[in-house]
Amino acid sequence: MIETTGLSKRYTVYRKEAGFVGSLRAFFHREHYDVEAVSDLTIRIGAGEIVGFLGPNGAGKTTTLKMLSGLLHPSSGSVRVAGHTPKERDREFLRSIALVMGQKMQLHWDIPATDSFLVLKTIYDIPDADYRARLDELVAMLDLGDLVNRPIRRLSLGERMKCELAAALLHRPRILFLDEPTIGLDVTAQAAIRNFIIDYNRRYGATVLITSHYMADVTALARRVLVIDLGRLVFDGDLQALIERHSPDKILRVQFAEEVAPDRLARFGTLRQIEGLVAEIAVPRAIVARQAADILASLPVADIAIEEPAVEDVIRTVFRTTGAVGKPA
Amino acid sequence: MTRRRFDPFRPFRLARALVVHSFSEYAAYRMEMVFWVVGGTLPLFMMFLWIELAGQRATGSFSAADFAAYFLLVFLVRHMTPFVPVPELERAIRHGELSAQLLRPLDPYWPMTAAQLMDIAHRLPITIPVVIVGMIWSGAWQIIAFEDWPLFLLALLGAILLHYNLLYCAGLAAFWMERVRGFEGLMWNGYFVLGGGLAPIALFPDVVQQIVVWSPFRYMMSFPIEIAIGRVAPADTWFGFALLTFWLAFSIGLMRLLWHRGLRRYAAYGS
Repeated sequence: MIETTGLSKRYTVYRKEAGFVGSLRAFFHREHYDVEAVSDLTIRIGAGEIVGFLGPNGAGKTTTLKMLSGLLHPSSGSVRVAGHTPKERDREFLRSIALVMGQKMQLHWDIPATDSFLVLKTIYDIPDADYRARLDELVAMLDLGDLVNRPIRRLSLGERMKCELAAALLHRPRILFLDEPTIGLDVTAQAAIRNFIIDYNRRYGATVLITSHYMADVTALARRVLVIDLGRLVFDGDLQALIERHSPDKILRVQFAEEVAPDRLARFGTLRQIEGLVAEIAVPRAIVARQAADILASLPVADIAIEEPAVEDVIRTVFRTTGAVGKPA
Repeated sequence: MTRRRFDPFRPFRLARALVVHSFSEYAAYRMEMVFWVVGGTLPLFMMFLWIELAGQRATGSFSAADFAAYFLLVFLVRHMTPFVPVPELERAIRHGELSAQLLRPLDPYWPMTAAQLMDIAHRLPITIPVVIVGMIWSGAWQIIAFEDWPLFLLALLGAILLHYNLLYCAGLAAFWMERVRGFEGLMWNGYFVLGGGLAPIALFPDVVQQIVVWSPFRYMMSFPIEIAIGRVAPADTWFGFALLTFWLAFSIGLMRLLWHRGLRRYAAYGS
C-alpha cells in the first residue's frame, strides 16, 4: 500500500546572524546551506496496518508524511502510495488519502463545519444518500452532535479536531496520514480520537500512519513502529519490544500538599525533577504500583499519577544506549 | 484502477458549491463590504476634479459629462478589481496553508476564484446604485453607447479575468520570494495609472498612448469603459479584443507554468 525506496528530501535554507549588522549583511549576501530532512528512507506498509511513526522533533516525520501525501516533491528516491506517485497528485490518488495535521486547521474558521462538508461532498463527488449516511456515521462515531452547525472559531480545540477528522474522512479514504492528531487535547478528547481511529481502521480496513508525542496514542493504536532520527530510519518493528527494552521505568508524577525535601524521595526511585510541590520519579515498571502506595501512605500527597515516559524520552534512551536499535525491515 | 466517467455537469455543481461556500464566508463579515466600497471612492474624487477642469477650459475631447461617465465607470470597474489572490496566495504559500487545498482533487485556483466572484457580487448592490444616480445627476447617461453594452460586458469580463490572472501570477511568485506584496503595489500602479484610473488614456501623450495600447493595463480597466462611452471605432474594437485575448492566453500560460514549477519548490512550512 505504501512503499518508499531511498526516499530523501533536502531543503536549502539561509543562515543569518542576529542583530542589525547581521540583517544588513544578509541583505547583501545570503549564506545558504542544505539540510537533509529525510535520508534514504526505505519502508513498506501493508493494507490495513496501523503504524506509529516516532522520532524526536526535527527527525523528519512530518516531512515524510508530506512526501507520502504529495505535498512535497522528494529530492531523490521513489515513493508509491496505493499504486500512485504522490507528487503527481492525480485525482484518484487524492481521493484515496487523507492527511490530518493536529497543529493546522483545514476547516474555514468563520463558518460551521457543515458548510465546508457540503463543498467537500461536491469536490469528492459523494452522492447525496452516501453523504447523509457518512455524515451521520461520523457525527455518531465522533459524538459531534450539533457542533457541526457552529462556526469553527466557537469550538474548543478538541471539538475542532473532531470536525477536522470528520472533514478528512468524509470521502472515506483508504489511507490516513495522521500528524499529531491529539496534540493539545485533554485526556478524554485524546481517548475519543484514538477510539475513533481504531474503529475507522476496523470498519474500512484503512491503512494508518500516525505520528504522536503521546506514548498513549502510539501504544493504543500501533503494534508496529518506525523510528526515525536525523532523517534516517533506525528502527522498524514491534512497539512493545522497543519500550520494554529501552524504557524499563514508568513515571510517578506526584503533587504534594506541602514542601517535601528531595532526599525523602530517593528511596522510591530516581528523582527526575522537582519543581515547587510537583515531583517526577522514575520507577521500575514491576514495582510502580507498590511505590505509589508507599508514597501515598508516607508523604503528604495532594495528587498522584502513573505515566508512561514521553516517546521522546524512550527514543532518547534508545539512541543513548545503542545509537541504532534495529535493522530496517 | 477505476477511472471515473466524464461528467459534464460536475463543473457546474462545483461552481455552485464553491460560490455558496464563499457566500457563507462573506456573509460572516457584513460591515467589511461597506468599508471596501467607501475605501474605493478615489475615482469619484477624480471625476469631480476633471469635471472642474473641463468646466474651465477644453480638456482634449472630453466634456464634463464625458468625464462624469468615464469616472463613474472607473468607479464601477474599480469595485470589480480583484484583491484576493496576492495576499491570499502569499499567506497560503508562506505559512503552508496551501497544503490543505493541495490535498483535495481540485485546483486551488477555483475556490479562490469563487471567493473573488462573491466579493464582487457583494459590492454590486452598493456600487451600481451609486453609478446610476451619478449618471442621472450629471447627465452622463446621454454619453453611454447603450447599443454596445454586450461588448462592454464581454470586455469587462475579460478585464476582470485578466487582472485576476495576473494578480494570481504575482501571488504564485511567493513560491520563490515568499513575500510578494511589492508586486501587488507595482501592478496596482500600472493598473491605475496606465489603465486609465487617474485620467483617460486618450489624454495621455501620443507616445505613451501607443505603448499603453499594447500593454495589458489598458485591457484591465480602460478598454471596457472606452467601449461603453463609444470611444472605440469598430475596427479598433476587434483589435482590442484580439489583444485582450492574447493577454488572457498569456496570463493562463504563465499561471500554469508558475504553478507547476512552484509546486516543486513548495516547502509546506508550518503545516
